[in-house]
Amino acid sequence: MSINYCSHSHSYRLAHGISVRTEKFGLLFYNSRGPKLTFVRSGPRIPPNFFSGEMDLEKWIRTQFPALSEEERLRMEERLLQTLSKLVEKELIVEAAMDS
Amino acid sequence: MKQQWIHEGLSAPVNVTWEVTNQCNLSCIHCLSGSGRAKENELTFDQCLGLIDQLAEHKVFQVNFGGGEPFLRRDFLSILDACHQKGLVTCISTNGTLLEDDVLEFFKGRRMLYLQVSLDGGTATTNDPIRGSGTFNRIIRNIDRLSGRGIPFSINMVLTKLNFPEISSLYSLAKDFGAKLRISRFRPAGRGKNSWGSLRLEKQDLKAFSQWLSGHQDVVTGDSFFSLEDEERKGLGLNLCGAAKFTCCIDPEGGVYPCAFLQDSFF
Repeated sequence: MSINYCSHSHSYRLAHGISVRTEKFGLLFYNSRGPKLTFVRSGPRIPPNFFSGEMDLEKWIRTQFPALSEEERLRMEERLLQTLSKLVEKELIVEAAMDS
Repeated sequence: MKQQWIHEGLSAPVNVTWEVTNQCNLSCIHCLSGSGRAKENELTFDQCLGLIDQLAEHKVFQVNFGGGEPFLRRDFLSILDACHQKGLVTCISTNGTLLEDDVLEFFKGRRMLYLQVSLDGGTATTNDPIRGSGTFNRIIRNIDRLSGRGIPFSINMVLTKLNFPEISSLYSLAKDFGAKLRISRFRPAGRGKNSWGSLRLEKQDLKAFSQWLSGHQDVVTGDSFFSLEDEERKGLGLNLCGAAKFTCCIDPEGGVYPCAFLQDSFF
């Protein structure tokens, strides 16, 4: 399956009926319409408040990890974009612009 | 990997069943909590608010309200409202006899609220011996009002020897009202212990039911015991008991148990 990476400029928010919380392994999403759980091994990198839709990914990485070199930052962004794209595919999150 | 994370323990339950009162205006013969009169030290409204704060603080996702009949608590709508304000999704299991206009008005537009109305047969002849005389017509009248106001709900049936022959008609009845049918297993708990011998399904009935269920994928059941094959359970995501892993139960006095079915002194 091919994954279309989301644009760097996007921020994300939870889709309707979805909640999320932090667990030791990463993030646990809850779809109350199912109900259904989705386990995401994201480590400590993405906290639930990232899905408030207030900050785009690039800006968020620069804020959270200011010591990263540009190369490291791009690598992290690419990895996180893969995870976020899968979450969009699963309809757990939406790009904030699309949700308005 | 998912199983490993679960066995290592989540930070909090995913959902909590909260039996918010033991009072009930019905006396169903299969009632697993043996509800009737309120317990002596049921939580006060302030204690309920404190509990809601704790659940929200621990990031519990959903509270499933049962009882007893939750709507016999005069403060129940305020309890629901407090949950919604804290971001907790709520699901209410009700006998459907007390859905007055103010309750229906409260439901309208609540996106964090799910409703399950109990009905134990496709006819009064089958339902009323289980839930009480005249209940079928009262429940039908109220689900008609819910449906008419566009309030989503599901119909919950506890599968017994009495209503097993009517699953298809109850399925059609639910569809007619735009509702999903949810089928739960009859358990030998509460008053169900007394009626266990007469209401439990025989092996051949369970087999027939399992086949019927396979042909009705839109019927909701969170009950692994209905799937006879391991692989089928896995497919439905029901190959794991959630007690004390995903879920727990809070009784009307604030006691906490691994699940609603483990409150008996035997355990």
